[in-house]
Order: sequence, then structure tokens, then C-alpha cells
Amino acid sequence: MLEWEEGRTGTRIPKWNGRLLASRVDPLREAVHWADRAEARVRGVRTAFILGLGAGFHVQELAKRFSNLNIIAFEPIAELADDFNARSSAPNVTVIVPFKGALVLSEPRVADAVCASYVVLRHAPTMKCSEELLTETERWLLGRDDQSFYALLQARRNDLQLFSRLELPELRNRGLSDVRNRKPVTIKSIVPALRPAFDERSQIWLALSELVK
Amino acid sequence: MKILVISLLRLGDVIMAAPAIASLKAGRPNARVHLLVNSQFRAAASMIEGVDKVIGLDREQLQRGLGEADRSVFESFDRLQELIADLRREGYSRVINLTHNRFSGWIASLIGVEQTDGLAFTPQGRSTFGSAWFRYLNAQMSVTDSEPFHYIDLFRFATAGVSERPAFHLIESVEGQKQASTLVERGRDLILLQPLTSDQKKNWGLDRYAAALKTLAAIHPHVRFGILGAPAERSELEPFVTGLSEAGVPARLLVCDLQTAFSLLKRARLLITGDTSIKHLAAAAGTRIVEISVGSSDFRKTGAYSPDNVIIQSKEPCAPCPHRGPCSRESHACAESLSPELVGLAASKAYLGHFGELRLIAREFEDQADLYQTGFTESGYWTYHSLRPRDSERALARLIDLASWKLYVYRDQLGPVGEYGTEGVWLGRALKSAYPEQPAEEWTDQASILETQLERLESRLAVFLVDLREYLKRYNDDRLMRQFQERVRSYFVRQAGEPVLISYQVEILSVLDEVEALTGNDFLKIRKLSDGLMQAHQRVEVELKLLRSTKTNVMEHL
Repeated sequence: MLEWEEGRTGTRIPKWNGRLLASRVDPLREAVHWADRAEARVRGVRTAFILGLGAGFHVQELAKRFSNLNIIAFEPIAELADDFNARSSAPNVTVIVPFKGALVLSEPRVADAVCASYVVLRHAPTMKCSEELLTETERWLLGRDDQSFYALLQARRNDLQLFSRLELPELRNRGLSDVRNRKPVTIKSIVPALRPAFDERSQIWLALSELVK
Repeated sequence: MKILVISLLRLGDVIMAAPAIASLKAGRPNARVHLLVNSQFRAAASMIEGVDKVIGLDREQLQRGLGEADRSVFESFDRLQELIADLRREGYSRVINLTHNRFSGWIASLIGVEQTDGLAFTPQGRSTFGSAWFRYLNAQMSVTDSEPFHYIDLFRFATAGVSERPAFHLIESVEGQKQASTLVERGRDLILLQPLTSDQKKNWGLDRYAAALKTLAAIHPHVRFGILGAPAERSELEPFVTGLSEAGVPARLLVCDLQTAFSLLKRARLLITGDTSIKHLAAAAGTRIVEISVGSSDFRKTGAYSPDNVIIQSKEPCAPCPHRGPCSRESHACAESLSPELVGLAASKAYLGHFGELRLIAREFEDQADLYQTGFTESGYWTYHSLRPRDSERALARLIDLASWKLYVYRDQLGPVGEYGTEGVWLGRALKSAYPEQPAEEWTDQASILETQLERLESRLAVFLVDLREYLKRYNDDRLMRQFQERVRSYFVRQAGEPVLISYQVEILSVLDEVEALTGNDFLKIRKLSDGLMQAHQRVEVELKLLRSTKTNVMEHL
């Protein structure tokens, strides 16, 4: 159940099932600290996916610092999303109530965003309220296991060609041995599975592989 | 014309790009030069004259994106792809890769500019170099024994193709000047010391530096000392400076950024360090340097690039060691072998500019270290000579080798014979000034020995070339070809240790490695090998003419 409480600085703080979603003492300062930590990761990318909107102070702070950044915040609690949309005027922020499973990648704004650079950021206090659903969303965005990796490849059409449009079992046989062993998908499993023909995207992977030697 | 220069290694490498960029800009004043560096070195890159735009590559983010499981598997891929797209949009007409590692090679290729100099790759993954100078760099840099041109000269030759002595300037910032004036007052003589480096193997040791400064302070009581360090080094340096003050050495801790360090160096008379970056800053500031060359420091390739510096090189056989990996010895032997007394005395003489007395110190401490003095040849490149007289044979071999490379790559050997005369006069003067006490008959003997070695090499190369023409008739006989390669390899392996032959050995063994890496197409293998042997043969001819000319000129000066 969603309730609201007035913090020490007079700001409204949401509370979900008795759990505060921002600092009662100074939520704006807390948001500044969160954005400070996120800043280095966000620099240079097109989209930041934020897992957990809560009161949205952290989202607003990030939007203020990076006006060209596309921010997509996932918030399973619809009332919080509505409240934020009513208050916020930041044109670069979209709030999405996440779908279950891989369907999140078929949401048009998400599908577009994963085709270019993006980071996935957690907002821990809010994630705790809907941990299962947001962790699941994170999994599909990160693509670090066999199913989510392949789903991301399908969403990023161009990258699928790198792997000769292989189906997942074939992809496994072509060299994603880490996947077979249930280890996370990394560049070390991706590079051996690339098509032999050298095109620009393969060369980018080969360049990156030099950084992990 | 828009040119992109790539320098994606360490801070010292970024600074070493400065003379190349200055030469490039001098030759094409209207060209716009962009410099791609690792993001953390953007401030250093902005100190380089002639750079119109600095572009940062966030290597750390790329590495973290690849290695951390809470980041998207595509994060680093997308970041790099977007950077490449941005670089392509700039519309460069030339890319110059000064980095020479595979990562930068792929970046250079991906930008896709027709004129790409330095390491790049074909779509099939084969390396290309774009010019003879970068091919030379590729062959020489992996060999620890080689004594090639200084990297700054190589970058300069490869980039701008000029041979005049370069201008090594950096831009001094107003903020740096202001900070420097608050840290040290003008008037008294200042000696700076940067004792720490980011590479543990290059650290001589704080206790040893403290003892050396005590010696120096006792000889020069009017001098004050500044201890340079980065903010992260403060906690380690504070007790060091306190210890110095307690021992009566007037030292002050100067923790600062790079711009301030440069302004401080401009006010100092001497820098003592084993750190590469600060050494290059000092060279650009015109401050004399005492370089402590231990660990992976290879002064022959990256030494203090200005005249009249002193390099103290440990005599341990394992030095210089590879950059990667820890010290292979039980203790840091190369650092331990240099006594504080040697460093203190050498720094004192360097401070005064008394190079004659440095020769005496070099002799006195010859069991510990080799001492070198840096300089520039009249031909326009950096060099060094040992302060011990009996190293003159090696110096002669090295200078002849470098000059012949320059003549060969510039195709000057096709020009008038007078070229050899001029180069010979310059070399003769350089050798005479470096070894003033060497008697005439010793120069003649040394030159004659080298001449014989080179003549032997010339005839051997001629035999190899004739044999290769025979193999060409039976080019599909793989066994014969392998036997031939083995003969060539074993001949050059046997030449190891002969100073005048080292660069030929490096060159031919590198060609053989390339040939062996080729798959199929025997004709291509023969052609590559033939080109390599032909080049060596032409160069030995150049070297012989030059040696004979120099011999005459050294004799004339005596």
C-alpha cells in the first residue's frame, strides 16, 4: 500500500508497505549522491535505464545534469509513475511499468534504446519494493545469460548477423562454451563465436578483445 | 586538411607526441590536428602546441563494461562503435597511429581513412604500417637489445618526414604559473625530485633518494629542494619530506597537477627522477635532468629528450626488463646496485654542468652503473654517449647505424655523394666531441673492424639474394624454401652481440617471422623475403659508404 509522509525538509516522501522510498532527512541530497555515483557511467551513452523510480528525485537529478540523455525508468507501482508524470516536466524522461520476462525488450521505446549505447542503473531503495520484477527486467537488459543474450541479439537486428543468424543451440556449439557451463556471457565467449568474415562490427569486438588480454 | 593523431598509451607517450605534432603543423600550417588520447590524459594533451582538438577515449569504462557482470554485454561495444562513428564524421584525410598496439591498430583501421600511418589492420586481420619508419618501429620495439632512434624522433620522422632538430615545447597554463608562484619563491636555486613512479620497478627507493639529497645538500648548502608528487602520492611523500627536513635538507613537498608541475620545472635548475612523464615535461621546460634508469626504463628509446642530461643506468643484466609483470629477481637488484653516493655526486656535477668531472665519476663508479650524456646530432636526432672512454666503439657503430637508416629511408643514398660527406662530417664531429681523449689510431682501428664486419655482411647478403633467385625457379618446393629460411635465420642469430649488426639482425629476423606467419602463397613469401634481404643489402651499402666518409672526417679532426 502506498502512503506519503512529510520529510524533515518538507518534501513528500513515498512509503510502500511501510518502507520509505527515499531519505526522510534530505531526499534531494540523497539524490545528488546517487547521481554523483552514476555520472561517470552515464557519460557518453545515449540511454540510461533506471530500475526503480520511487519518488523520482534521483531521476530528476540525473535528467538535470544530462539534458541529452534518454532516461527510461522502470517502476512497477503505477501510482508512483502517475505521481511522477504529474510532477515532472523533464522531456528526456520516460517512465515505464515493466512487463514480465523478455517482453520488456519488445516495448518500442526499450527496443529502440537497446540498439544504441545504454547503461542499466539500480536505485536500491525502490528496487527492494519490487525486487523480483525489476531484477528480471535487469536480466533482459544486461544479456549476460544465454536466453537474455539471444533476446538482445534479436532486438538489435544488426548484431544478429554477426553470428550468422544462428539459433541458440548452434550458437552454443560455435563457441559460447561459457553459456553451456552456465557462466555469464562475456567478450571471451563472444569473440570465438563471431562469423569468420571481417566486417566493421566484428572488428569492434576484436578491438575490445585486446583490452581484456 | 584534417589529421587525427592517435596516442592511446601512457602519459609519457602522449607528451612524446608533441614534437611530431609540432613538425606536422610546421609543414602544414593550415592543417587541423586532432589528438585521440585516453580520457585521463586530456589535460596533458591540451598542453601540446598545434593540437586543435583533444578527443578522449574512456578506456577504463570500456574495460569495466567488458568485465563487470552488472553491465550490459553490449555496453562497451556500443560506446566504442559510437566513438568510431563520431571520428568518421570528422572527415579526416589522414590518421597517424603513434601507439603501436593492436587495440589502437583496430581503431585506426575502423576510422577507414585511406592514408593511415602506423599500425593498422586489413579486413583480413593483416598488419600494415603505412611507412618505412613505422615498419622500422615495429621491428625494433620488441627487441630489448636494439638501439634504435629515440621514439620521439621516430614519431617525428614518420609523421612529418623532416630531419631538422625538433622544437619540444608545451603550453604553460596561467593557472599552472599562478600555482607555481604560490609554491616556490623565485631567487634561490631550486632542484626538483620526483621520487615515485606508477611502475614499482622504476622506483629507486625513497631511502636512497633521501641519502642522495643529503649528499647534494651538503655540497650545495644554498640550494632548496622541491619534492614533486601527484595527489595520490601525498601520504607516502609526507614522511619522506619530514625526514629530509629533520636531517637538515631544506625540502618542501609539492603535490600538484601536471600544469603546475610544468611551471615548477620551468623555475628549477635540475630534476632528478626515474619517472618518464615528468622527465619529458622537464625536457620540454628546458630543465636539465638526472635520469635514474632502473626497472623497465629503456633510456635508449625514451630517454630524457634534451641536450646535456645525465642518465644513470644500472649495470644489472636484466635491465631494462619488460613493462609487464613484476620484477623477476629476489630483490630489486638494479635499484640496489646504484649507490646514493653515485647519484648525489652525479647530480651535483650535472647541476653545475661539469661534464668533465662527470667522466671521472663515471670511471670511479663503473662497477655500479653506466653514465651517459644526452645530445643531438647535427643531422637532427637525439643521441647519447657513454661518459666512459672505452665505449666509443659501440657509439661509433650505433651512430653509423642510425645515420644509415635515415639516409636509406629518405632515399638520400640515391642523391649526390656529397650527402655522405656532410653526414660523415657531422658524425665525425659528434664522436670527437663525445670522446675527446681518444687517440687517432684507436678510431682507425675501430672503424676498420666495423668495416670488415659490414663487408662480410654485405657479401653474405649478396649470396643469399643469389640463392633466393634460384629458389624462385622452384618456388613450390616448400622443403627447399624452409631450409633456406633456416640458413638465413641461423646466420643472423649467430651475429647476436655485434653492435654494428644488431639492427640487421632485428630487421631480418622480423621479416622471417612475418614470412613464417604467412599461410599458402609461396610466391608472396619469396617476395617478402627478397624485399627484406634487398633492403638490408642496400642499407649495408649505405652504411659502408658512410663509415668510410666518417672515418676520413674523424681522422681530419684529430
